[in-house]
Amino acid sequence: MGQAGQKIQVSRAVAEEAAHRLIILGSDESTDEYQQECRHWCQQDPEHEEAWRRAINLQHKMGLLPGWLVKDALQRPPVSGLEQSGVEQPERRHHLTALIGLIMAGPAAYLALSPDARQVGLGQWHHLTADYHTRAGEQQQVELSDGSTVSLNTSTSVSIHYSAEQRLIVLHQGEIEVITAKDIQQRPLSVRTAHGLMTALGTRFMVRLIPGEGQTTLAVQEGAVAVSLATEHQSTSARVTHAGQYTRFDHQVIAEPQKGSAGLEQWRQGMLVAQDMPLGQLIEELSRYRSGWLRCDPDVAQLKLSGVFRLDNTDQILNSLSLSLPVTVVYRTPYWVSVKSI
Amino acid sequence: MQAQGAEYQMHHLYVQNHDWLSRWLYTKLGCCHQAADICHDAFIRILQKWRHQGHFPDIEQPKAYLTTVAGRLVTDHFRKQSLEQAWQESLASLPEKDVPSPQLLLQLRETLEEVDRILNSLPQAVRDTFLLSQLDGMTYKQIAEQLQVSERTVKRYMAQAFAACILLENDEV
Repeated sequence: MGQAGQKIQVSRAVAEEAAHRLIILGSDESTDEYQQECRHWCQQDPEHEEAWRRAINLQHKMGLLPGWLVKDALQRPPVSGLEQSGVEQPERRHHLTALIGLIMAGPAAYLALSPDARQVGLGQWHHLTADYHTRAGEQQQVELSDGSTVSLNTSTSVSIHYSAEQRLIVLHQGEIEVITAKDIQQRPLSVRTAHGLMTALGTRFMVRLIPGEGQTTLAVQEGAVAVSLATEHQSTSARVTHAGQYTRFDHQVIAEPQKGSAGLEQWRQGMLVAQDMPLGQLIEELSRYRSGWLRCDPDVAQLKLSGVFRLDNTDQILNSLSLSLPVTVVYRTPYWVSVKSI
Repeated sequence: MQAQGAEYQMHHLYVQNHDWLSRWLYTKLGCCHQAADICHDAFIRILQKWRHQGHFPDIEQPKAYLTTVAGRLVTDHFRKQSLEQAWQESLASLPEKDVPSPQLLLQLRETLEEVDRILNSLPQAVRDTFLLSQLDGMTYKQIAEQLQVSERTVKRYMAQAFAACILLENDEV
């Protein structure tokens, strides 16, 4: 899972296949069935999944860059590797002497002092920039080099970027809980989504970014978190959400913080609390916890239901639906499930 | 771990090759500080590879090996330098009120560097196509019209870009 030392190698054939599929998905030839087929292809083989992850990761990164600002830099004409530079940077010279002494101490000791290791703080260099992903139904807790922890809910993808100046977690998709630790280097810890940047002023908060919702939801349990929008140029207008509050924001607007948590903490307790929730919304939520295809017919999507559901067994939840609602659950395969009216 | 043997090998490699490599780099860079930095980085790469593989890399021809590693670093050095220059120019052309906050700038700079490193391996036409698609969100058809090529060519370029970026991660370290 993106950790140094166990990296999966991708063959040219698989890379080309993944690229070919991505091109079709990005064109008007793409259909729901084809998307499903691609998801299946990824699940077939870790190498497929790795190829896919790398391409998607690049897409995510490009999505985080404001085109109007970075385009000229990325489009600049290529330079030859043999040009003269003329710019002097004498400040790094001392590393050379440092290296000589440390070679004898072995790489582990070296890493504790190298510029690379400085970036990760405590020398756990595989956290330099690491990606973590959970599949449908999985959860994972990641301990970071400074002692902070990030918990990932189902179908979640994050990148961790720790440098000398900052601790940055990029949430690409899904839900996370962040518990910050005091940093001896006093670097700010922040979470970034496509919509904006959340900087921790305190200790525990949760973030949700689900495609289709079009916004980021933040709930703060302890301390406070400052939000600034990705489109904002000055951080001065950041809005602070305090413990016991939640807020939502998209590219343009940060909502006034409200009391409560918008249900964001429920997955940590392994449950989902529905109160007059439309069936369509519940099914969409559950689909993030299951591999394969789970859909709800539009004619039953507006039916409301209430209850407390355990997220560790979504089959059970689906089976219980027909007890309380006029619906039937059709399993074409375990990975192809639809909810229809009776 | 055969750490002691490997440490000796590393030390030996360094002592035997450091001087000529520094001089070689000086002829490429024209600056002794940069030559020293990149020479240092070349040995770091070997340390990283050692760490990554769990055993000391099998280097049959140290001279050729180090020249290749250091040569790549020189190319990368010029890439970073030209990126930095282009980036500073972009920022300088912004009205003051539009300049992003220092924190955002820092994050943009990091992501920009990562993306640039990947895109740099692509031919210019492929790179332009990829940017129009991924940065400007244009459809293949719109790109084809803008660049005056067929939609099939656009798709071929896009596939080439994705495949290259996937394979690039294999070679790191």
